[in-house]
Parts: sequence; structure tokens; C-alpha cells
Amino acid sequence: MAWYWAAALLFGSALGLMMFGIPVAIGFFITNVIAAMVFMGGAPGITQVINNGFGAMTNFALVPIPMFLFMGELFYHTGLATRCFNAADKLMGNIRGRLAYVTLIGGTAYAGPAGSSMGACALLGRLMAPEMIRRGYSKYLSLGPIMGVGGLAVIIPPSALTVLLATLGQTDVGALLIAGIVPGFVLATMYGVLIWAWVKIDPDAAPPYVPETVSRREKIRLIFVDVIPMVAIIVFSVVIMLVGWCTPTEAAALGAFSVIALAICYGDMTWKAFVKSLDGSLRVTVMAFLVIFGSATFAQVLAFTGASSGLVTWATSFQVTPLQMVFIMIGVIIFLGSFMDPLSKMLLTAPIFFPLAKSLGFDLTWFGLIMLLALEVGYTTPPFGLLLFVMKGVAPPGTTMKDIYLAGMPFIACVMVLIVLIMFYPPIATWLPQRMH
Amino acid sequence: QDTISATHVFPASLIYSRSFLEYVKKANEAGKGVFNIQVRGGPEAIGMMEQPGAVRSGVVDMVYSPCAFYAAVVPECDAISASSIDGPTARKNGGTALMNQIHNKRMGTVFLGWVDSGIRFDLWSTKEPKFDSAGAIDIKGFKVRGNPIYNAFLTNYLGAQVINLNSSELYTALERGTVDLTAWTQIGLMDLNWDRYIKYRITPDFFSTDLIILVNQKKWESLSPKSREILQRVAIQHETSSLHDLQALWKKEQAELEKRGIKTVSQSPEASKKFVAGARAASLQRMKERMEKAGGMENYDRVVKLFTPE
Amino acid sequence: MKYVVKGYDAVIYGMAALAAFLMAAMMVTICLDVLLRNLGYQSSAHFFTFTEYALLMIPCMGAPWLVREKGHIYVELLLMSLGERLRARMTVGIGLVCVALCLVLAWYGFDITWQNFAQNEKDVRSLDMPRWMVVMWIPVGFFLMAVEFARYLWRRENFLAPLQDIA
Ligand code: NA
Ligand code: NA
Repeated sequence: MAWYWAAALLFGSALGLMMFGIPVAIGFFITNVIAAMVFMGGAPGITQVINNGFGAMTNFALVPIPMFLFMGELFYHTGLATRCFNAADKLMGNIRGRLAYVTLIGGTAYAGPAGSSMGACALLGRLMAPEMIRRGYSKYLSLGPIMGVGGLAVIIPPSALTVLLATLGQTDVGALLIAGIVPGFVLATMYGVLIWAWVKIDPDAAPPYVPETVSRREKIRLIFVDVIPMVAIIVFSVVIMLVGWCTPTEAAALGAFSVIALAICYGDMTWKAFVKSLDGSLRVTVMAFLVIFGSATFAQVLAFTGASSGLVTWATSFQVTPLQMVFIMIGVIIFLGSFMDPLSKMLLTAPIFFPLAKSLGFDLTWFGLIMLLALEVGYTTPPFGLLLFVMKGVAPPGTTMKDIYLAGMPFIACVMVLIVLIMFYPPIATWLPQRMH
Repeated sequence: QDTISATHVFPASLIYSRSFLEYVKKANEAGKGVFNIQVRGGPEAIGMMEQPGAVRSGVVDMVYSPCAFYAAVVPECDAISASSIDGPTARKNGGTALMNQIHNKRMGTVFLGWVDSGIRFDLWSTKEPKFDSAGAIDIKGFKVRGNPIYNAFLTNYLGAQVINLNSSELYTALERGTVDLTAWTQIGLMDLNWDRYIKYRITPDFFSTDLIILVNQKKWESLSPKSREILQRVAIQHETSSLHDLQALWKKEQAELEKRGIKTVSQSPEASKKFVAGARAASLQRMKERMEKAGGMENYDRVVKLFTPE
Repeated sequence: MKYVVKGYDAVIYGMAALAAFLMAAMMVTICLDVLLRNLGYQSSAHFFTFTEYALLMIPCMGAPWLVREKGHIYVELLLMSLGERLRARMTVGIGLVCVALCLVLAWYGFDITWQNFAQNEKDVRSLDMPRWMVVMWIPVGFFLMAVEFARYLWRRENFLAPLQDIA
């Protein structure tokens, strides 16, 4: 069978099944079973698929994923995340749109340990949106920053999704994690400017109110007690990796452990919080690992049939410049993003895109970061970006889908601008990881 | 015309995979119109450790893999990595024929050839190694990259502190100093750019590459006699030519390594002898234990005699 | 019958609890490993191997529980656009497909486990692990997943949660 038929069968089946609402992991597995029957000689093929999965799952490179997820859940359930927001709230002076800034700053801090934008978005939506609506903020200014900040969670390390992408692309995990730092802060700054301009143009979007006054002494206390230790943990888990004291995998475990240690210091580490964090991270880990189980074997079947190399050869045969090729790949990711979650989407595209990027001679860290950002954009693009529905689920009653679309737009635009910036000026992403040498 | 699907356990960029692809090319040329080997890819198509099982079950017809990867199925594999001879010698002294019988029986595969032989392992380090009074390497204080297959020797004999990593992760680990000593074959180090951090090569050479071309036995029997004859003939040729090619490459790489400032340091002759013997003993010991468990000790003495004559 | 159901529930939740335990244990062993290494001690290479096995066991042990908790991710797009009756029918169809697939994988997984057991196959890492001991969690996980999906079908209950509940 020619490679294009194999490719059509495999992608068609996987995408088609998922579109019908079959759970993503099951969709991958059905495709694998079909492919095993067709390309691997029937029953021994199915056996091989399971054995391939055994090899793909028992791989140490996957360890950081549950660890980072656990770290994020601990951060949330021990109340450390709330501390962050309280501190940001009290430290923020009485300026226009202060709650939007609080969302931004607290959210950026939370974005460190939080691995998924779904989680970050759900948390911020429950925490900040009702408060902003109560204070008379416009719907758009209330919801927009939340969706925007959710997007920071993936690129600011540590992040489980980043680890997985680096693993899939067989590129340096540590480098890709660290590559997100500068773009993360650039993006946060862009958001800040956006909010500032917004309330300048439309002051009614954020009616002023007098926040509770906080003494200078209290502010200093907050900085030392609530802000510095929290930031220190994130910096710690990144720095031990930077200086080679341990591998990214070990940094992830130590990161989770240090959140426990910090929570103990605050007296917030209850048995209940521990169990809830385990429960929460187990949910996402099992969900993600089962999808990875299905898709890792899917990627292997794809390679075995010759579809991967066929697609790559075909794509590179076009008379387009490498940069145009990046635009095409981003386009595909954003298109798929309108109906798939970043995890499934990444697992579907990475086996093709990374070899393609490699054959075009790209820096894989640079490419990986662009891919992460594109995954985020796709996540928030109407009409079906998944994050939009999460937002709908947690937003105050009466919020329509249209409100959410419009609120998200300016923030998506910022991410797109950042993607273009990184494309034409790669050092934004590559400078810091190169300093690691 | 027969079609034969094939995979290789290492990525195509690695020198050993390139050598296998060379075999495929030569075989396909010689067997034009008779058979065609279709390479399906490396570990991206079927996982490294799953490939021996795949050729056993017939999902793939031909697999190129180190024998050590399936030594739990064919314990006699350990004799190959512990051996003091090379592929063509084993072919001549009957070792290959015996291995073929053993593979037929234990694994249902044909042992088409032991290729890319004659290359040995060294210890490579980023820091200057220390030697004890007897001139043996003192590995204390080194962070050693472990490989499940050689850990027995590294930890039991050398008392090393082992960090397990995939070879793909090793570059980063060397760069950051997470690891400062690893065992690796004499060649191929520069393909992986490890020479940027490696400063010392520590001899004696020990172990031996054990790269095997396997064919599923049922598939083999279904091939036309002509296909079988050509496949086998080219494999025997490749045993010799790859030996020579890799030796030539090792000479070239040796000069290049020196140019790049990698120093070769040696343990004392006494200590070297002990070291090599230790490595061999560790392998043969494991082989014996596994053979006892798997049943079928009848070939033990012959295998040892044929593959480690010295 | 009541005790059968109770015992069965205990298995589902017990496996999930075991998966959670493995996750926590993973964190602790890795931290210990780093600590020991930096204190100049040698920790066991077997830690590493067991961690790798845990990576397979966690999803297999947790998956049936996650079906019960409606935690498996899916694409809502088409289902949302359907009318209530059609959607219900479609969900039943999806459930049947899920059950069938899980049973197929459970069957072949069981076959592998049995073969590995009968042929005494070893997974070679830092130690020679009897392969069936690890592989067996694949058929166990998929079989119990099939049972969980089937239970939802039997009770005519929807097993797909709204997306924001999964997040
Ligand atoms: Na995110
Ligand atoms: Na993050």
C-alpha cells in the first residue's frame, strides 16, 4: 500500500473516531488495532502494538509529567495558590483595572507550577471572575485575562506538557523548559500593556473602587512571607536543572517535594490536602498516560507503514521556504486546536512535525516553543477551542459563548504576535537555553 | 519475488545502523528480481527492546539488534559480548553455526550473521581518572552512566555509582556534569557530539560489539532457495567487510579524537588483565545463571570454548 | 450479589489507590536517589527500573476508576450539536465501541501475559524481571475498563462528563 493511503487510513480513522466523541485514547487504540490487522499481519500485529506500548510506557522520560502535575495540584490544594493571589491583591495599589492586573500577576506566578491551561483557567475563572463581575468590570475585561493567563501555564516552566513535547521531539527537555522563561515574561508584559491600554481607552470597563488599605509593614511581610518563598521554589526547580545538579526528571520530583516542604512550613500541609492533590494529579496522569499509550503506539505504526517518512518527504518537496513551512504547521495546529485538546493534538502532530523540522534544519528547541504557543492559540480559537468551553463552565451565569469569544480575542492576538516575534527573532527563545552551556 | 521487511534497533543516524543499511543495499543489489528487503525504520517504528520479539513473532521478517537485547531469551548471547574473537572467526570455527542452532531452538529465528564485530568498549570520562597503587582505575567519586545490560559489571566489579540514562539523554548529562563517565564503543562517539565533553579514554578495551542480523525462521523457510543463498552469502561477505570497514574507521576516529584533545590513559598491564577478565567473568557468570534457569546447559562448554578461546 | 458488587468496587478503588501510592512513592524514591547520590552513597539501580514499571502500572491501574469518575477525555464537538435523543443513541454506540475495543486489548494482553508466563520471559533491565508480572496490568486494566463502560450502558447512564468537569 502506498504511504498516502496508509497515512489517510491512519489519520482519517484516528481523527474521525475522535470527532464522533469516542474517548481520545480509545480512538487511538482502535486505529492501532485496525492498522495492526492491515499492516502487521493480523493477530501478531495486535500483540506487537501492545508490546510496543509496554516499551513506550516504561520509559523514564515520562516521570516528570506526573511529578509536575502533582506539584501544581499541591500548590492549589494546600492553599499556596490562594496565598499568591491574596498577596498580589494586597500589594497592588489603587489603580485602574487592578483586579485584571491581579489576575495577571497572580496568574503568572501560578503559571509556574501549574502545568495545564485548563487547570489554570478553571482556577482563575472560579477565583477571579465572580469578584470582577461584582466590582462592575466589563465581561470582556473579566474573562479575557483569565484565558490569556491560562496560556502562560504551558510555556513558563515547570510544565508537564513541555516535558512531553520535548520527549516526543527527542530534544533536550531542560532546554525546552528553560526556553519558555523569556517568552513567558514577554507575553505577560504584553498582557499588562494590553490591560493598561484597554482601561485607558474604555475606563468604564473597570470602574474604580477603594480597596482595603494595607500598611507598608504588612506589605513587606507579605513580600517576605508569601511571595519570596513561592517564587524561590519555582526558581529552585529551574536552577538545579540549569546548573546540572540533577536531571529534569529529578528536578520535577524535587519540585513537588519542595512544595510539600513549603506547605509544611506554612502549616498548610494537611492529610486532606495531600490526598486531594494525589487524587487530582492521578486523574490527569491516568487520562494523559492512557492517551500517550495509544498515541505512542499510533506514532510507531505510522512510522512502520512508511506514512511518516512519506509525509515528511512529500511536505519537503514543496517549493516553499522553511519559514513558510512553519506557518503551514502552525496553521494545522491551530485548525486542529479548534476541536482537540493540546495533549491529543500534540501527540497526533509531533511524530510528523518534529522529523519535518529536523529535515529543514531548525533548532528543535525554538521549534518546540513555537509549537507550544501554537497549541495554546488553537486552544482558545473560536468556535470550538476547548479552553473556551472550560471558561464557559466556570464563568458566572449569564455569560454567553459570544462574550467568551470576544473576551479572548485580544489576548490570542498577543500570543500570535509573540509567535511571529520568535519566528523572526529566535534569540527570544534560544538565548537562555544556550547560556546553559 | 520475495519481499522481506526489516527494522534496526538503533536510529538510522548511528554508525551501526548505517552499516546494516549498507548490508541491505548490497543484498538488494545482489538479489535484484529475486527478493527485496524493505526497511521499515528504526526505534521510531518498533521500540528498541521490542524488535527482537517482533522478529520472533514474525511481525517483521528481519531485525538488526545487539544480541544482549534478547539475552534473556537466548542466554548464550552473553558469550558474544564477552568474546575475544570476531565475526569471520566465529564463522570459520563453527561458533556461528552453533549460535544459529541455538537461535533456531530458543527463539525461532535464523542467525544470519554476526556483523560489525571487532569493535570493543572503552570507558570514557570527562574528568581525569585516578588509579590505585596497583594501577587499576579508582572509580569512586565518578558519576557513571549505567546501562541495564552492563550494570552488573559496572556496579559489582567496579563499585560504580550508576545513573541510568538513555544514550539520547547522555549529551545533556555530560554537558551539565550529571554524568562524568560512560562505557561506549570505540567508534561513534563523535557522531553523538560527546567529544565536546569527554576528555579521557580509559583502556583496556573490553567486551565486544554483538550486532546480529536475525530472520524469522518461518519466513526464512518460505523464501526461495535462491533468496536464502544470496541473503546468506551477502551476510557472510558483510561480516568480513564490515569488520574491515569499522577497523579502518576506528583508525581514522582515533586520530581525530587525538586531534580533538581526547587523551588515552591506560590501567597498568596487570590491572588491565584483571579488568578484562572481570568483565568476561561477569558476562559468563550471568550466562550460566540464565542458562540454568532456562534449561539446556548442553552448549555451555562449547559456546565458551568457541567464543572465548583465550 | 451485594458482596460481589462491594468486593468489585473495592478492587476498582483499591487499584486507583495503589496507582496514587505508586505516584507518591515515585516522588519519594527519586528525591532519595538524588539525596543519596549527593551524599556520596550509591542507591540501587533497581529504583530506576521499578519507577519505569510504575509508569505503565499507574495508567492501567487507574483507568477503570477514571471511567467510573467520567474522567476520560473526548471531543465534544459533534455530540453537542446533536439533539438530545440522537445524542443519547450516539453515546450508547460510543459505549459499545469502547467495550469492544477494551475487550480486544484485554484478550490480546492476556494472551501476551500467558505466553510470557509459560515461556518464563524476562524483561532485561537492572534485573531480569518476569515480564508477565508487569504486562498483566494491561489486560487487567482494559478488562475492568470494559466492565465499567458496560455498567454505564447497563444503567443507561451517560459516561461522558461535560468538559469543564474533566479540567
Ligand atoms: Na497552558
Ligand atoms: Na508551568
